Amino acid sequence: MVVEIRELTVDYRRVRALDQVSLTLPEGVCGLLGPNGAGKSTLLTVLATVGRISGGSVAVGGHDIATVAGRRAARRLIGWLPQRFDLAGGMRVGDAVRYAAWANGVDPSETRAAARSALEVVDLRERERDRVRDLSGGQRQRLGLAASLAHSPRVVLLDEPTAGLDPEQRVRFRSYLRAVGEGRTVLFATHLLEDVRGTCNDLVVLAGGRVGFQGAPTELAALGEDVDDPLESPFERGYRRLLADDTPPGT
Amino acid sequence: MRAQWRPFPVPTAHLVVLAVGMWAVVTAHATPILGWPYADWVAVSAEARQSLALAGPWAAVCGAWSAARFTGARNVVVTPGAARVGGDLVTAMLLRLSTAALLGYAAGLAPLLAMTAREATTGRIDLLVVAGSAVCLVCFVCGGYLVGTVLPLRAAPVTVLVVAYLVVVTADYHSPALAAVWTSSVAAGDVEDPGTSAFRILFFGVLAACLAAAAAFVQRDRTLPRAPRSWAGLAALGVPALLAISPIRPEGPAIQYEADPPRTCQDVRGVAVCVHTARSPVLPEFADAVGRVLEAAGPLGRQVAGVSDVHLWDDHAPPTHVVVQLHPMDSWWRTQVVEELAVVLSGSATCLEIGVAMGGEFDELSPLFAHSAASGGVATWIARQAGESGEEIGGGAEGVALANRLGRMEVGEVHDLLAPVAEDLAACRAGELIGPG
Repeated sequence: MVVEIRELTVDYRRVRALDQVSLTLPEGVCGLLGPNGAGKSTLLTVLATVGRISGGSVAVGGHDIATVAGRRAARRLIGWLPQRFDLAGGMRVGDAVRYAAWANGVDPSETRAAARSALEVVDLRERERDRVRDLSGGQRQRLGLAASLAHSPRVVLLDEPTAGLDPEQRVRFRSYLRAVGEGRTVLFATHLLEDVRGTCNDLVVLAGGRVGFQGAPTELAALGEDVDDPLESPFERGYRRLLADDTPPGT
Repeated sequence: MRAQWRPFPVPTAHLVVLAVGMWAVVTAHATPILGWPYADWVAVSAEARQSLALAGPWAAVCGAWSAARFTGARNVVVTPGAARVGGDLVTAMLLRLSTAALLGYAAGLAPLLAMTAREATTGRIDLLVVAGSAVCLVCFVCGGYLVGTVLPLRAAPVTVLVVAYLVVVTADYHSPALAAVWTSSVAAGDVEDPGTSAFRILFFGVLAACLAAAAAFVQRDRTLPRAPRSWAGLAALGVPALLAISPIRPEGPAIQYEADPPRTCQDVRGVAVCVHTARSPVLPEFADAVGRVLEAAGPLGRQVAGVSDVHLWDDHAPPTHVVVQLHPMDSWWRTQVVEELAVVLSGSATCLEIGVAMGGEFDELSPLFAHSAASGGVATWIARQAGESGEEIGGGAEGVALANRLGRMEVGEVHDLLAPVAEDLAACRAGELIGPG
């Protein structure tokens, strides 16, 4: 497996953000669901090797990120798109992605090809020469995704990438995610159920810093099939039932 | 060549802006020296340091801007976990930023160096001074970069501009060995202490390295999941702080008069008029100004055996040897020479010294007041006879009245009047010249 998390615990002063989290993430797109404060961003920050670990272990591509050498090796395998990010508006789109490729360890002579390849995935290849400031909100989000893909990472971590996008942009973004997930492990944090329903092969639901569920979307939908609420789909009902239940059904 | 146009680690356009801006500010600072009537290696070497008054803040602002633009914690182009973040990124960016800054700096100084190499009559470039200044410039780049690593883009350049300005204007009050720019000017006849210059290279070199290391630590701090490393950044800055207070820092004067300076002289009415050889291009004009004063002063000038540039100062020179300030870089320097010499020959300078020794405690009834007015009046008259206005010479209303009264007399009559009181004037005790007749 590409990502293996064992009994991961993260404390922020007196608050336990993640509590004994154990997960194994295979290839494909994995949705990370949970309400605000569930620990989604904390988990992604740890996996991106920039968050502090209070206990447990995390291995990416077999490299333990608690060690300097392991962290160094793991970073070359990871692409990370934080929830909020800045982009230099004056840069050209292609240059921004080339810069990201170089910063993530790509040989300087190969950055142009790497950038074009990443821009191709998010359908921004024709905007390569444009300035970043000329992109729309959705295009900037796709550019951020391209930057996180520029060094061909095996693991892509996306923290609420559809936040702030209008419905049409979200639909387009989800279609790019499916392309990104081919041959990679993509962990995609969101609190919007519609983002994950048709996009993810696998789902993880975090609640109160613990794993409430890991399985296929159909399994989550099955949890809601016996709940009677015509306004919601079984998938939504399953999710709400999961969050309302004091004793999560587990994985 | 293609590699130069890569957008990383600093886009070429940014480097060009840095270099061109650096060239512009250094040129702006150095241009007045190009207009000097003589070429002065000492002043030109020092200009490498003095131009940092503008070049330093500019370098720091550019360093801060680049760091904040590309290494900010939220920058998706260089995310905190990116493989090259830390030492690799800092080294790559600072190498390019420093090179661009130094190229612009060298281009700005190049016309001055070329002119001086072509026209200087003596001396040579002080490589220690220039090297220390170049290393100091790199320090500004690194310091700005560190601030840009810590602060966001909106705050970093402005903060750095203010801090760099304060560094420029306040550092010399502590120690010249640690100061980016000095408040004292130097010119031919001065020598900068080699120990101080060498220490500056060491200090600024260590400071630049530690600022870069601190920036790398700060970048890595964002990426480390465990022990916070911000202490490492602070510790890095402690190294130059220790060096600054260490006993190897030179404590003596940073500028001294040149021992046995080369001199070039010209005889004027039997008086040897001398300048430092570096200023020999202005000797004819200096001699002309001295000649006009000696002619106007008549009997008062006979007590003078030599007049020289202050940079030829000799503690053992006889009292008949007059030393005057020579600032050929100022357009009014001839007027200054005439008035200063007139003040010396008339005894006005002696009166001033006595007044200073008394702490300025005398009034209109004091004999010194009359003596000063008499000497001041005579000095003003000499300056006027030598073709200058004499407006800058003191002496008060009584002195000006005396000068006006002397001006209505024939020159020969004035000389006859002054001859018997020449010694009294020189000693500041010729107050009797002030009176109705």
